[in-house]
Amino acid sequence: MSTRKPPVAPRIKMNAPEANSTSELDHPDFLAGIYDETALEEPHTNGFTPHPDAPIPIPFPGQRPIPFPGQIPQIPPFRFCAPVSGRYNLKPVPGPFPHVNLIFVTVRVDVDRFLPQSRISIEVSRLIPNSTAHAIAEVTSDRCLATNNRRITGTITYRDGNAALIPGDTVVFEAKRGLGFNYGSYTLTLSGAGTSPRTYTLVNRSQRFDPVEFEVDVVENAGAAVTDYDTGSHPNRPADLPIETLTLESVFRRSGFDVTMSPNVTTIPTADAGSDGTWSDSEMHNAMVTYWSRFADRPQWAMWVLYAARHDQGRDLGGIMFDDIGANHRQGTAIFTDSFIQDAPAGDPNAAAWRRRMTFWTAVHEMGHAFNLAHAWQKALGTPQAPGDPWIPLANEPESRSFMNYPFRVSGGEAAFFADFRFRFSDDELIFMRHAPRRFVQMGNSDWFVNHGFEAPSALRQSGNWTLEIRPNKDLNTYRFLEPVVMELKLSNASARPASVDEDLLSDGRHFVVTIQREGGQPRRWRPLITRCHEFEETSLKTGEAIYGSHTIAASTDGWLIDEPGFYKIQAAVDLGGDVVVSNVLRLYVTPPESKAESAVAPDFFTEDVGRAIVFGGAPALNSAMETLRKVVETCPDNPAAIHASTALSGPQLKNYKVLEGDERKDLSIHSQSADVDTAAKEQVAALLEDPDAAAETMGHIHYFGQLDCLAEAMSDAGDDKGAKKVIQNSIAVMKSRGVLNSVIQSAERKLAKLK
Amino acid sequence: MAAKIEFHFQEGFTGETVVLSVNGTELSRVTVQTRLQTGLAAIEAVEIAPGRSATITIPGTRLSATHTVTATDRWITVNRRGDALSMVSVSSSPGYV
Repeated sequence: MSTRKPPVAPRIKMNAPEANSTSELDHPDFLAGIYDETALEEPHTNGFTPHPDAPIPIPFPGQRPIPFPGQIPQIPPFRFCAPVSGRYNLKPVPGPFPHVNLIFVTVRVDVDRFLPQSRISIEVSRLIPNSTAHAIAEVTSDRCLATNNRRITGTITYRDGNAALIPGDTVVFEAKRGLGFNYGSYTLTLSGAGTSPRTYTLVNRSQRFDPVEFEVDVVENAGAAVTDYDTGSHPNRPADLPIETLTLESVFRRSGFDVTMSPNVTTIPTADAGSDGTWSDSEMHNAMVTYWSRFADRPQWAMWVLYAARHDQGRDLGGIMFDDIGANHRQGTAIFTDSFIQDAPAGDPNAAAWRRRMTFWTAVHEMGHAFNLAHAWQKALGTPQAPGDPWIPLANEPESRSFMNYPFRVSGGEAAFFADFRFRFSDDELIFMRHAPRRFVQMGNSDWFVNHGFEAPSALRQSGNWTLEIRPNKDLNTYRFLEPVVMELKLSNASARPASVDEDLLSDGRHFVVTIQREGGQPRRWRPLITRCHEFEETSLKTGEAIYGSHTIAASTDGWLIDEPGFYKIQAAVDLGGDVVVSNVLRLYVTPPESKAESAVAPDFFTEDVGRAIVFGGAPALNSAMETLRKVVETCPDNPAAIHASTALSGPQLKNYKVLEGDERKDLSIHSQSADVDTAAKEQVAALLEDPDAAAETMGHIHYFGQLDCLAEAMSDAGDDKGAKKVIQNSIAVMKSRGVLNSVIQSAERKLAKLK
Repeated sequence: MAAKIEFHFQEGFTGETVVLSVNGTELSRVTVQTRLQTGLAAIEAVEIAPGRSATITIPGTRLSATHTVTATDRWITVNRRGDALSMVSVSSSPGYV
């Protein structure tokens, strides 16, 4: 349920410093790039992350890191490489034909800018069958080989998902100058562990790792929301802490996120908390559903932050990530302004600053929970409490000076905490936020504390205007050994208005992809034995209307994809001008051979030529294949493969058939074989109409009724209208019994009416 | 004179029943589970006179902890860490975020 928010004037300060402002470049936590190739010869943990006792490798403090023509270092061999941290995607490859993007790659490089963690994480999503993989590499070498020619090498230390998508164990990220002085090309190469190197060309998307939006709403009796803090306002702080105004936005931007603050700021009536005036978790959840402009029951990079006066628990609760309710956790947090976080110690030198710092700290702390961060002393709870938890086992950090630790829990209490606190998350927390599989981190995805730093993600943004279904024309998705698997594709207009589409989209074999994976095996892409080039014919589909296609997907140009007993997964996708529509995943079962004859014929049956003979509806020139099909009919008559074989054997006889004959090129000549419609018709009628349901099931409706249509036409052309009429009558009867669309039945009835 | 003392059951509880006794007499029995967002499982407030012994036990286990109440005690935190149960008197009301 959702209601519209009442318009209220914004009350929150949002003018955080711009990214790459001079002040941020001067910040000691900011690494502006590297220089010379000796920048990281020793272990990365020392040379990479700025350390209080070590010089920060910024060649020109205060200057922009990207050299411009007038700022290029003049003294050779000085080399400077500008920062490269950020998010990269696979560079799109332009092509002349519409195609489905089968692989999506995202790379997060984390070696400079704010609080670098010396990690490269890689996320690969394969379209069909749906499969994802995630890997994190620890950087072992970062070299500036020439000005803005940078090579970063890492070793994969963490994996999640289908490891085959990210082969090898070594990652090399390279950024090289283009025509100017800035970087112009980026590549990622995976290698090692006996695999062939695989290189992806990348394009930079952002200096940060993911976007996120925060919306701050305030209950009317909560006072003004504290969303910023002047780090110099309280005297108890690290001596070298930069004096600056931090905001919720800047803290999370430095943590690696492209933060936007929602302009939708609402003052919430106190009455929404009920008669007691304090807030329960469910009341806050209701308020979130009502007032948050981005609320949705789905994962999204967005969070609701509520400033309220007091929780039902009382004054001892300063804030809470309350959203462990429903299917999508971690979307809402609350800060309580009438709570112990206002209780500055007696005699504190600046009680007002203490309260503001504590409120700001609490807000960031609760927001950290929404990124699925645990308390600093609870990190080790993840693995035993969440069986199968795939995240890196973490050690507790009970003394860490992190937003996720309790200031009053460390040795020496909150005074000791803030004396060393640098307003940041710990390295482990940053690695989790920046590099863990995104479902672990994204709000509304994995449940709270599941897969924590302690849930594909759809790689595709689909419009929902179309639905694609892949289905057999049989009740059970079970196939006999040898039986060629035929699948029907159905693309429906799921939008509320008529839509146009190429009417041959699903039949020409060129505009969709089908992937087949035997369970336990590698996915393989089906490559049709027949593709058709045709004149573009646009057809308009009303809402709910569909186009269809039917294909023998068992046989591909590179062999049979379904040729063994076992379970298989099948999925299809079609690209409608950039709107990639993905089908259901169909799981089917192929039974073991039921006779010695089936086993005996299998080696000859599962060949490319037999596949072609079946798909082409007969291939007299492929003598060996036709012999094999004859053997199937004779030795395996009850196997559905015999129906396919029989129609392929007899099909060429329905018409005069041209055959290229001759052994030597100079001897080649085309000969015509005369049709033998009577003989072919007998064989086809036997195959198709003796047990029509069995034939329709194994061939699929489109192939089956199409074949009956061809048979009737051939018989009519041969002067046997009576026989043709009988075939069509039978066809109509089968259509009706199998619930075929009325429009198809009516078309057959019109053909019947034309016959004498 | 008896004073109200809050027992804050904090970390390490996963839905077990705990028994609070004073000088061997059961005062309350509660089921506690730590809420990981806050690190708090439950707060139990009872009146106890100084000098008496407050004991927390987890039936079915050998875990127990005892604290002799003083006149200044107001808040006692109770934590379970593996095979140990601890009770600590703290000088201010514990806060949770």
